[in-house]
Amino acid sequence: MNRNNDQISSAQLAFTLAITMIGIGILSMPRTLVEKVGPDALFVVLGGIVIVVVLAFIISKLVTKFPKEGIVEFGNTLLGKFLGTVMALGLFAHFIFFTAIEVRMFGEIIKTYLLLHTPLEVLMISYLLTVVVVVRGGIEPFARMSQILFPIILISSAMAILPMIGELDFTHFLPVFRTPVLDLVKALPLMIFSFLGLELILLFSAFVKDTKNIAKNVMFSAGFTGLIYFVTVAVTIARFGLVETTHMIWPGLEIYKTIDIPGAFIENIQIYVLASWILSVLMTTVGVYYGASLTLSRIIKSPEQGFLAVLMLPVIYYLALMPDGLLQTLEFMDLFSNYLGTLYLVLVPIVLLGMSLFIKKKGGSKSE
Amino acid sequence: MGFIDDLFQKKEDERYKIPVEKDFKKNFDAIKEILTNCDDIIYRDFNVGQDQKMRFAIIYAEGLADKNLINEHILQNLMILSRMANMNIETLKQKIYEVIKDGTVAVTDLREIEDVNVAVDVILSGETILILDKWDKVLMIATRGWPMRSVSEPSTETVIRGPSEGFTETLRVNTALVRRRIRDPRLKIKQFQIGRRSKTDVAVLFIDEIANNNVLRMVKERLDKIDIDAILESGYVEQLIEDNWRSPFPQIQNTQRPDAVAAALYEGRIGIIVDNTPFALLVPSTVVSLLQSPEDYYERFFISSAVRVLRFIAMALALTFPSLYIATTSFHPGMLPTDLALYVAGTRMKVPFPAFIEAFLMEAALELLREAGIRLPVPIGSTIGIVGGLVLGQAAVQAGIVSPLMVIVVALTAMATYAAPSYSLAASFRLLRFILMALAAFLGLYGIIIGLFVLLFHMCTLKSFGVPYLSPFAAAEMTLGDFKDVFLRVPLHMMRKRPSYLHRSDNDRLSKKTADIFSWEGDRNEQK
Repeated sequence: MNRNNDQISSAQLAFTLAITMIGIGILSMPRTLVEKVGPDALFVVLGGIVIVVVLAFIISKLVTKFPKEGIVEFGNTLLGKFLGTVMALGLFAHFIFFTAIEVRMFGEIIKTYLLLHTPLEVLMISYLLTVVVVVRGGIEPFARMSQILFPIILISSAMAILPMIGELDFTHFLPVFRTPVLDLVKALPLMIFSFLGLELILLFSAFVKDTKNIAKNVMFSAGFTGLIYFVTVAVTIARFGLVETTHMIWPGLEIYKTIDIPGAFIENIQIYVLASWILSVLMTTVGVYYGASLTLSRIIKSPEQGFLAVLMLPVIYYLALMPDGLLQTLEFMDLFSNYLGTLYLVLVPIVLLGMSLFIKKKGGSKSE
Repeated sequence: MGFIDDLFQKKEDERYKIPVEKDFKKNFDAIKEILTNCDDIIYRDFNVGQDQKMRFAIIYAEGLADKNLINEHILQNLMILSRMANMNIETLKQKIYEVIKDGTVAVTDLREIEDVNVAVDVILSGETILILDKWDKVLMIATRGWPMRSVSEPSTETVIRGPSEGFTETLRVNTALVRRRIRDPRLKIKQFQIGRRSKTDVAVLFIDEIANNNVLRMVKERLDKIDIDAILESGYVEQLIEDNWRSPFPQIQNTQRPDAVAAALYEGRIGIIVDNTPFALLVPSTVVSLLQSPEDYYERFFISSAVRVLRFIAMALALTFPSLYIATTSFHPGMLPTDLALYVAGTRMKVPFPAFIEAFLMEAALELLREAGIRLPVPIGSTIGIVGGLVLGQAAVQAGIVSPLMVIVVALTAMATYAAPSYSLAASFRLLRFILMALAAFLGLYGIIIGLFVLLFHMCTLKSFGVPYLSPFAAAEMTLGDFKDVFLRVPLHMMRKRPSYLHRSDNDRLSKKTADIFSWEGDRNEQK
């Protein structure tokens, strides 16, 4: 019965992270993996899960060292005022780009599958407005919504997979380990970037009541998300085969088109799965957008996070309109995850953790 | 105990106090002056005693006070029987007031009053004031008794199994109805007055040790902040103490049923009963509590659980069915099986309106029908139902203005709406339905999802007296036990604890001994 709107439990944190991580990526993931490594895609997924769980462990170790503080605060203590602010501004840019890409991709997918004649701008504006409404609400409603929506999305997608089981053909994976090991390793980053959103712990840990449980819950959350990816990739490839998978932009969505329940009232399952996917992407965007507004409000030390979120809306809208088409959006997405993604999901946490250990060791003698 | 005493301590009356004086005439005139031009106040002054030297007066409001009681137990005693009193004149002179107070007036409740203003208040509540000569106090005699509606079956929230008593318009009767169900000294009934002019009695009911002190404090503080001229119905109180006035959802449950209030009190919630209305308020309320009916607990759990599930489906239908119809027909005909999609398109062929206009017209007609039906007397009301529902619907379809499917959709939605146990929740769903319909008309299924998303967000932010509106979903610490009474109503012996989101101190509902009687196989394991 907290009256303040800024406390969540670490279990809620796990829900928010899981629902943020699962977004656009899951739809194209089978294709990109098969393009790179062919039938060994599942091993890359497994490798990615292991790495991400380790990353989750590293990040949680870092944030548990600074309870009730976000990255903007402890970045300043570790890196110094100037470097810390630069790092935080970069994080802000990272979230802004992330949001813009999500918004654009969402618009493209909805235009392809749901509303063929509605202008992209209308879709994107309505989407952004919805997201801003929720972002202004702060962390607690967001955490509660993840808690409610995550099981709904999970169960509805899992139910949709059930009728497919009979048609799955796992021989598609069969020539195991024919891909050169180097290619497997090269494909790993691709997998890791599907977990973008995990870096939000750096910010959200400041709200967590029971700091000591963060590591456990966050690792579980990352692992569970990985399991969902694993099932998606496995089912998609087993259903379509390697060649067909590479020929679709969003095979993760197309599989639901193939479902045929004999004698059912509903013929087109895909649209219902799409409905639950919309909820998932909405939550992803809310998480990232909220991350952006939160970072900014922490940098300029303003409590007006909700107002800043509204100010950011035109910027994000403009950025989202920049790519010329779907292909360019996909290119932008690659660029973005290759640089900013690596930086903030992998490098920054590791460096900061290293520094915090270093400073801790020297801290005893240096505390003058 | 100290907490409750602190919370409900009497505040000093801020008005200018007019003390009662020793002079009979002064007191009498003071009251008469305040109550000037109030023709319903009866003044009766008379002489008492063997020598008829004592001057007394009684004042009461006609219609509010029980005349028989005044005649037989006050006036008769004072005027006639007191002469027969065989008493020493000396002691009588010294102790006249004690004698009258303790030995003459044969009424249960008496109180001495020292302030003329209080005396006036008391008169207007239906009590009788007795002014005695040469005494610096006046005597209040409890004579409340006005013609009142007897306890009858509530017009809303009817049940098939369960008591058919409903609250009446009299506070005291209502609290008694609750007290009859809770014979626990820890059931506290704290009473005060709200309304500068109406001075309406408001009672706060709770069970000490079960009710949460934070919620209790919030209730008291919010009630204290109300400074209004009049409280006519509990709706006034509801709107003045609710958490978020901009929300379409009712955050306080109202009920006409004493058993519902008692059950809520046993759960640790707090009841607010307002005089002059049969609707009691229950706080805190969650969306789940608004979807429960007292009958759920009286029937066996199979039936109740099935009905609960049905009710949740009905609520989903009430909210989204027309908008889904609009979205499918105008944006995604592919959602339906091909045969059905063709049939729907076929029925809509002659309809000159887009689906949204069609749906909007029919829904608006239905709302009109409902509103008209309520205002009319019962016999005509059913006529309106027949005329509106059957004739109009049939004619509209035959004229080709709406498709027959649309009529089915609207009728089903209406039925689903009225399956809600709480009228105010159903009303908010009816309103939100129109918003979702508009969204569906613009953006199809995507619009509906956006609408539901924002709705869910709103419900996540909503709190009722500090308790999240969506409890037990989405609590920071979810416990499985709280879900025993949400979608399903598990057997009573499995509900051993009270719902946890209220955080009260005494949490045991059913003893382990009783629960252990029921074995999992379904037989009772009783040793004889």
